[in-house]
Order: sequence, then structure tokens, then C-alpha cells
Amino acid sequence: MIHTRIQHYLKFLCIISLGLLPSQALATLNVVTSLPEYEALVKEIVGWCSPLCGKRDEITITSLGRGTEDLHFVNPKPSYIRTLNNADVLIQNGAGVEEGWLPPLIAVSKNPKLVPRFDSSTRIMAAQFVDMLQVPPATKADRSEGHIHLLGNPHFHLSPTNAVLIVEGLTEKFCFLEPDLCPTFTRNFHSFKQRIEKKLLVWQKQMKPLQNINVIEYHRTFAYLAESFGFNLVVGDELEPKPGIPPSATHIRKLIPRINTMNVKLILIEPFHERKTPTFVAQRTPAKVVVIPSTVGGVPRTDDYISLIDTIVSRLVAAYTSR
Amino acid sequence: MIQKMRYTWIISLIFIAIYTPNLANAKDTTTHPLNSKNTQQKLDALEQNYEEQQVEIKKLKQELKQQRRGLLNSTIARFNPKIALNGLFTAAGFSDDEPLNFGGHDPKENGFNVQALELNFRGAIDPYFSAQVNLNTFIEEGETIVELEEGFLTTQALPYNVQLMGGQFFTRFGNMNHIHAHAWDFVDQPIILNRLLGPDGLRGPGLQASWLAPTPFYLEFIGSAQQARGEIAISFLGKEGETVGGHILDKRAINDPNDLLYMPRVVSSFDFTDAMTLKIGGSALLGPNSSSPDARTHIYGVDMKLKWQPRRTMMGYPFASLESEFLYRDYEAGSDKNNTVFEDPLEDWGFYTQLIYGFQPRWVAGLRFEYADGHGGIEQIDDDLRSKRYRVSPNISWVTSEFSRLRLQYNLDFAESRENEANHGFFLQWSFALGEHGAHQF
Repeated sequence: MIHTRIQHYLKFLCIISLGLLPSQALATLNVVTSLPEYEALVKEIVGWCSPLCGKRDEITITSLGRGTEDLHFVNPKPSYIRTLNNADVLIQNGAGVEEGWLPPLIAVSKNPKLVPRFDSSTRIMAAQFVDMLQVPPATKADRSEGHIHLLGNPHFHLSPTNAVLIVEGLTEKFCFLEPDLCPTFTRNFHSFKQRIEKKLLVWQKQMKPLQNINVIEYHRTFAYLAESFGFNLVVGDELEPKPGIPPSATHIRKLIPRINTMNVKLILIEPFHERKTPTFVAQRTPAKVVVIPSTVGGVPRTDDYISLIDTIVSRLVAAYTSR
Repeated sequence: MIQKMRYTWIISLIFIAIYTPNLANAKDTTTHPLNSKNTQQKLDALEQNYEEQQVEIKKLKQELKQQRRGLLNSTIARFNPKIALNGLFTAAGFSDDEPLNFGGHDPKENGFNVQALELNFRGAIDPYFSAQVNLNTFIEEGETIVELEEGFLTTQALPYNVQLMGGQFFTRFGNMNHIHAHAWDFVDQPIILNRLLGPDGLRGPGLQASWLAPTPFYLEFIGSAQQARGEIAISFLGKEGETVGGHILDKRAINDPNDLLYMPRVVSSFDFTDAMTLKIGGSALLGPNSSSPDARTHIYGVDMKLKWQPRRTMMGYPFASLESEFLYRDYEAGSDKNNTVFEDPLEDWGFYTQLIYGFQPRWVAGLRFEYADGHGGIEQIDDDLRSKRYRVSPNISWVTSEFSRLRLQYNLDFAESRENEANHGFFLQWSFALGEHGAHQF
């Protein structure tokens, strides 16, 4: 009885698989990114080419996480297993950002291309292309320090020069994957680099008034932005007492006089952060709260990388000048 | 004379050798407008040189970076498995002298309980396999009990969307059977799972195959064959001497493939909107039972989970989920050796429904409703494990960090076997995760 039943199931499986097989091979290269910024950066490489280059429809780009989400805590929907199963390339931030949601999805995605746990041409960690800030010293690499990242602060995409390095690295990988399209990729990379270089001068000019002012943040997100634009991010005095630990009343009570003595001008928070604590602090100090997106798509009009930095810069400048 | 001439000859040659390039240089600079070709060549050579140097610099930078990273990685000990130790402890208070909690990892005694201290190892074996091992210990009546909960290999590189698993593992039946105690949303096991799948959950050594259908939505088929013996498979070849519905279990050998436990499961998921996801599944268990030499058990289950998580979240909050599982067991209790008990089909069924609401970062509230009942068997009405039972359990959890949690729960319990009187249970549970960062499941 069992035998026939199992045979029955097997037959059923075979029939279903036969019926569904043709739907598999539609696009030549399915690119899946864990975070929206990599979707945007990959679009820079493959998407901005003239209709003459023809092949652009054969590359699809899907991001699992969305700009509005807290990217350490993306909801691991079963549909993402499907998306990952279809991926020819997975581009991750790496350095621990996705460790809370992505690995179990990959483990059951049944996609051998995603098996290499470290860098390869089909599973790419953007972290390999940049130098990291805030790498914890061995003496502080401990959970009592909160949710720290052993490889350093993982929000490196917020430095435009890092974005160029990442796109350069990705272009190299894409050239390996699609050699035919390499000239297009390379051209697009150079165009992106030029646009960033040009924009960087504009942004730096806009950010001139903010040079060396003291700024604090909610969570350790904007270190690379601060490095790029020369404002002084006070490390160790975030609204969070420790990375990943929500603000407590005692911590905030101690922080307020420090903000006053250090003459902190701005408090940077991300769109998904609660507003109660920052507002409470701002009411008791001269510092002003400014909500700035950290990801592409985090707020309206941040659909690509350059518009993201544009929005960040204009919000910072507006907040600082209207104090 | 000739000698002298030779010297001058040699000396002049040396002079020429030394000065010619300089002369050429001088000539170059002076005759620049007339000889641009030469300059161009030199420029090209220099540029090429520059490019080569740039490549070299880049290469060295890359090397340096890799060396630095190598240093870092060596401190993280890349080749060690990921290790986590989860501790789960509860202070409990029950209104009844004999509490109604029968789960292996439930708090069962007034006062303090060690529910589980679980050691978890994970990692890649080689490019083809990964492995997971869970060793669990807890204290029951003062005695430390060690359990091999799971320990299995999973293939990572098979084609055609197929994945195989082999070893000792929780049967992937329904939503909750394979979830380890530290990851439960409540302090105790759902009644119907306890009754049909056993106090420790249904598990055993075996093989599992799963296949992801290439549909536009998530659809997965899972099938497993397992040894179903002892306390970890009570509905099947349960422990000799134990009873099910008054039928004393006998020893039963495993002689042919019919004596193994088979599980087929299909599970699918749909995203209604960005924020709303539904996961539904259906599973069955088909295997022998040890009430007689040829008796069989069939268990069927349907499960669903509806989860809401809006676009804007902080640390994953807010979220809400509605989760439910319905199980039905058809247990052919055979007549025993002495024919004192006759053939008797036992039926059992029940469900749980739970609503979980993460209303603000770090705070999660839960409400669970359960119902279970049975039919047939000896003294079914007085059997704690088969009579009609209702339970309502509200709880609240304070997730202090991703590595620790405090939970308060109340159980209101009505069991036919206890004259349908209200039974109360109060629990304060605390838990920790030491080591590797656990990932969140859907």
C-alpha cells in the first residue's frame, strides 16, 4: 500500500515538474541584491545604456530588502526563497548586515550558485571592495558592547568614493559573467565615475558650512558619510547606548549635558527610527533633529545612488542653515 | 704607439657612450618642434610605464587588503563551526497538584524549571554539504537528561532544485514541530502537538528530500522517511510498555520499508501586498504503530501563517502574525497478545491558533487558543492525553536584546479529565543565546 502511495506521489511530482520546467529559462542573467543600494548600483552598470545595446532586457535586477526597512531586520518571506533560487548572481553588502535574515533563506534556496560562502563571481560581497571604518579592537570585540560588527561599520555605501570602488569591482565581476557586454559595462562604469566625481565637488561645496561641526547619530550608520564630507561625527555618543540597544532614560539623561558641552549641532536619524527620543533630546539641547535616508528608496526621490546623496546633502544643509 | 692609440680609442668610446644619450636629450629638447615623433614615443613609453605602475599599485593595495582581512578572519576562526548555546529557564506556579503540562521542554513543576540548555553547531562541511547539530539538556526531577535533538547533513550543490537531508532530524511536519524550544512564541508546547507528535516533538534518524517548484510563487514539496521508534515517535513505534488509549505498546521489529515513517508535505506562500504574507501547508504522516504487529497510524495536518509587517519598521517592529495548525490522527489500535483488549480505532484531533503582535521595538504580546479532543479507546474521558481540553494563554515578552528575553505567561486550562475545572498556570521565563547570532525565521 505504501509502495503504491509513494509511487503515486513520485508520479505526481514528475508531472508537475514537467509542466513547470519551461518557465525557468527566461532571462539570461538574474541579478538579486540583498539591499536596494546594490540594485541601484547594478543598474548603473547595466541599465543606463542606449537601446542600441539591445541586451539590457536580458538582465533582471531584484532587491530583497527595501529602502524603507531596517536592513538588519528584513522580513524573511518564503517568496524570497523563490527569488534566490532563480538568481544567477547574488550581491550582498556583507560584513554582517544581512546575517539576521539572509543565511537561512540561502540555505534552503537550492541554488548551487549561491553556495560559495565567500567571494566568487556568483555570490559577491560588496565589503571586499572597500576599506572599513570602526573595526572594533580585539579588546572590545565582545557582545557586552552591543551588536557590533567584527569586520567594521558595514554602512560603507554612503561614501561616494566607496560607491565608485564598489561599482568598479562589480563591473569587473559582470565582465567575467557576461564578456560580450563588458564594453558597455565598462563605459557605464566610467560614466558613473565621472558623474560622481563631478557631483562630489558640488556636494563638498554645499557641505562647506558643515565642516568640522559636531554631529551625533541614532545608530552608527553615517561614519562614511561624515568622512566624505568632513563633519565631525561624535563616535560613542549615539542615542543608542550601544549599537542595537535602544535608548534608555539613564543614557539620554547623561547624553543631554554632553550634547550641550560638545556643542552638537545636528542629530542624525533614519526614516524608520522612532521620533520620541530624538525630539526629547532636541527640546533640551540646541541640536536639531534631521531625518536622512541611509538607503536608496528610504524616502521619496531617492531612486538612484546620486539622488540619494543629493537628498542627504540637501537635507543636512537645510537643517543646518535653518537652525 | 699602437697601444696608446688603442687607449684613446677606448676612452673616446667610453665618452661617446656616456654622452650620447645626453646629447640626444639635448638635441631632443632643442629640436622639439621639429621632432615631435620622438617626444610622442617617449611620452607613450612613460604613459605605459605609468599605467603599469598604476596596475601594480592597485594589485599591491588589493594584496594588502586581503592580508589585513586574512588577519581578521583568522581571529574569527573561519574554519570553526558557528556555535550557539541557548538557555531557557522558567519560574512556574500551577493551581493543580498535577500540572497539565506534559511537553518534554515545558515547565512542569511549581518553582524553578530548566526547560532547555541547548548547544547548537552549524557550518559548512565541504563545498557539497552543510551540517547542523543540536544537543539538548534539561533537568527533570533533579536528573539531568541529555538529548540528541538533531544532527544532520544537508546537500548544498545539487541541481534541479533538489535538496537532500540525512541524519537525525525533526520531521518537517506542519509549522511548529521542528522549532526548537528557545524559539517558541509561548513557554509551552501546543496541546495537540504534544498529544500526537510527542512531548519532545516527532524526530528520528532518516532521509529527507525536498524540491522547490519553479513556479512564480513559493511552492515546495518535502518528503521524508524516518525510523519512528521510542519516546520521540509516540504515535508510531512508541516505547514498549507505554499505553496509547489504554492499549499497551509491544515491541515491534522493523522488517521492511512499510515499517518506516513516511511524511509528504507541500508548502506554499503568497505575498498579498508588500506587508502581508501568507504561508500555507499540508502534511501527512504514515507509519506503523506498536499496539499490534500490523497496526498503522495516519496523521494529517494543515497549517497556515499570516504575517503582517509594514514597509516602515524599526528593528523589525511592528509586526503581527496569525498562526494556526489543525491535526487529526487515525490510530489503528490492534488487539494485544493476550486478546484482553480488542481492535479499536482511535481518533484524535485538535488545533491551536495564536496571534503574535510585536507592538513596539522589543515588546511582543501573544494570545493562544487551543482545543483538543479524542474518540474511542479505553477511559478516553479520564485520559489527560486524549480527553476534551481547552486552553487560553496570553503572554507578553520583553526582548531585551537579540540575545536575551524575558516572558510572562498565564494559562487558563479546562480538561474533561479534570472535571472541566479551571486550571491555572503562571510562568516567568528567561532565556539567553550565547555565541553565534541566530537568524530570524519567517
